[in-house]
Amino acid sequence: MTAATSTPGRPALQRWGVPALAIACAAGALAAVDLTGAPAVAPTSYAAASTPLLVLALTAGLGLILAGAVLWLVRPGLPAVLAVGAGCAWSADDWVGRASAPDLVRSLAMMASPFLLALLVHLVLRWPGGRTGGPWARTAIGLAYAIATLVAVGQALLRDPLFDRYCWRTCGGNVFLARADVEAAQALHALRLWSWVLLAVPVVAGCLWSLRRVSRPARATRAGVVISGAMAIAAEASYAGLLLLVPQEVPTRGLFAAVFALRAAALTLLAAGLAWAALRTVRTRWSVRRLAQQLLEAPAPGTLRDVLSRSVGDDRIEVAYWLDGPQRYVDAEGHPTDPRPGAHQSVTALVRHGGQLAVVVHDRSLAQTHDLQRELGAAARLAVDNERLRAEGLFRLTDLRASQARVVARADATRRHLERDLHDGAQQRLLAVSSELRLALLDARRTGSPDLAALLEQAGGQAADALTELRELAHGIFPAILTDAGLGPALSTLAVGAPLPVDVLSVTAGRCGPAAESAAYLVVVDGIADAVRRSATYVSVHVELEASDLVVQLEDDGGDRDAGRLVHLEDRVAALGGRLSTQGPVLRAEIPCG
Amino acid sequence: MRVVVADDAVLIREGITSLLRSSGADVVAQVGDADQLLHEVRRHVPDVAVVDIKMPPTHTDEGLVAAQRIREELPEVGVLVLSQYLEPAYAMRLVSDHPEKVGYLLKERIFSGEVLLDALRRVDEGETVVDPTIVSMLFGRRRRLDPLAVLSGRERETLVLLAEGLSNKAIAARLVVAERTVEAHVTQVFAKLRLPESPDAHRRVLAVLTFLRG
Repeated sequence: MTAATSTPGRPALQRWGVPALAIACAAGALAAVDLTGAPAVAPTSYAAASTPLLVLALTAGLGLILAGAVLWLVRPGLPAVLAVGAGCAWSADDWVGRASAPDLVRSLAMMASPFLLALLVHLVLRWPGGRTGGPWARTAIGLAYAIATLVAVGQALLRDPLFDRYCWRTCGGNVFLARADVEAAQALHALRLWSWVLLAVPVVAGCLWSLRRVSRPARATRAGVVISGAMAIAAEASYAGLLLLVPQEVPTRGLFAAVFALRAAALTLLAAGLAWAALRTVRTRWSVRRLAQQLLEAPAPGTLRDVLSRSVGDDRIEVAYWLDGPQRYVDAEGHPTDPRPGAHQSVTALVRHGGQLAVVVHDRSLAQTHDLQRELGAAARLAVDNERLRAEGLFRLTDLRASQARVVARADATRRHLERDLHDGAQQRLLAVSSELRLALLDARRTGSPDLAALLEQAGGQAADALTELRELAHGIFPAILTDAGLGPALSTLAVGAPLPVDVLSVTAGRCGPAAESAAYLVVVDGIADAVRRSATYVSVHVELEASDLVVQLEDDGGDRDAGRLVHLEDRVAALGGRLSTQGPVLRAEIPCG
Repeated sequence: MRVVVADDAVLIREGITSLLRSSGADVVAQVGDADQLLHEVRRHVPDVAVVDIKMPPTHTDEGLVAAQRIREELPEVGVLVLSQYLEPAYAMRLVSDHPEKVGYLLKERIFSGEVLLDALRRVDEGETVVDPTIVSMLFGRRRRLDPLAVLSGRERETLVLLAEGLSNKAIAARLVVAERTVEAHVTQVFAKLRLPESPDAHRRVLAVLTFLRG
């Protein structure tokens, strides 16, 4: 469906030109009839025949003209002009029959009235605008206009109403008459009538057929005008058909009056259809504008509760969002919550398609004076949906973080236990073995068994070596001094034993949670290993407490960092809610102290 | 020599005690935690207390804390702290508070050779004992500019023994030179490394260790 858009700042003439014209035509249509309402004995127009017909005629004519004007204001385009034109062509018949009008006017009106069907056909086939209808529509419209022009001009030049046996509106007054040719005039008249009948059938059929093939929304916008337009065309065709059967037109006779009434009614319906289309356009535009406004004004995420509270004037209002997956309520920040009404409060559920979206806990009086479900409106529901999705996202993120942190903590705890088991278990036993070997050695020496003594000394040496290896192993699994004395001593030992020069330039004396300290220690360990891998010659380390974060910064002079190599560090730091970043030669880890 | 042994692991405690006794030392008490240690030391006033660094209740540095208490209260009692951890920080903490008559040894070494008895003797005589493993770890540290490059071979050897807490006399005995020579070396080393020369032999251990740790 194409809709002509009104561009802002269009020249005033363009915008108001057609309505001004329409008003002139309307004035003309009113002027054409005798509003005193006195039915004439031999009326020269349907409007003069009786009051009801007068009313019908005026309704149809003025209706079309005004509908066209309104349509132009809302949706400027050809259909609006055609509607005004059709209204004028309809009312032209009254001017033809107005005896007191100047002949020129009546002659012009005589030329105008054949165009009525062409205008209707054009309007209906080209509704709602643009290239609808296809090539056959173009043919039909072209044909209609061609015939109308031929009839209008031909009759203007060749028809002398005086010689028309069936003249009733006017029997004279054709100022354009060039040469009176009765046969030609009659032929043209017949052409007009036959063309109206024959053209109407395919046009009406085509209109109705085209309606079936379009989508539902398109059908809704087109049906009103197309169906009423088809009816108007059919009514005109029936009028033409009637004239073919009964050439003498007598407006007071029931049959003619009925057909006229039918035509007027159909045209009025068409006018109503056009006005309705205009109204729909306005309404759609307005609701879209309103939606856009509301979307623009959608409250910032997390603030829906405050916005609601302000607008309903209840500062104890609470909003809780329902999450289907975890089957629980959360607040705007994703924290699990239990929405229970307090004193003087009640709960309203916001549902959509039978599923619960959120609940609002509010003052009881609110429920008595408002229908919160309805009043929150579609736009607020959109905001609610947004908030809910955001809350769900935050909830899942927190959940995930917590689970990751648990995994990391378990891994750390396992290592600590392993180190302690080694210290308290294997190392102690080996020390005991060492001590026993020593005692045995001293004994062997005293009792003068040099071979045994030598063996025992050797065994003692092996035990000592094993102890050294165990010590280094345990330190590699977890440096106990990290838990006991913190990052300072732990990093100092690490620096002393490192395979390349490492300077710990600053270490905060403050303690943090074990997970944070382990992560920080690991960052330094892996950072040093990475520096070695990249052939650095020096590493400097800073560990500071910034706000509530433990910040570890390593700088080395090795080659460019490969981000992929430190992914496990990123994971560990992120699991604790921290951040690992590289800025040139500096590796920076921010870890919540916790 | 009268000794009090403190270690919460029975096997180790027994092992140390047996070893000391078989060498002629008199183990007057064996305890399993710091409170008992202080109690027994006050009661017996031994020559040296041999103390494990990790003891109940926190199993972190009770031994170090107890050592400091003993040194403050009873200066005549030496303390030899035993640790399973090669942590220069602990050694330096011990040495910085009360450098004389203290020692820091790695447990894994005490059952080799005469290490334990030597250390006990040195502590009793008023020296500072720093486990050579710690000293060599500090010496082995990678540095950008080696500040020790200015030292001659002899001076370097002297520095190592200084760090281990040996007195000039002990260094002279170890290097088989005259004590006066050692004194000259020591002066040179301190001058070259720009260390504050301290008449107090014990303070110099801390100075050297601090320098080495960087």
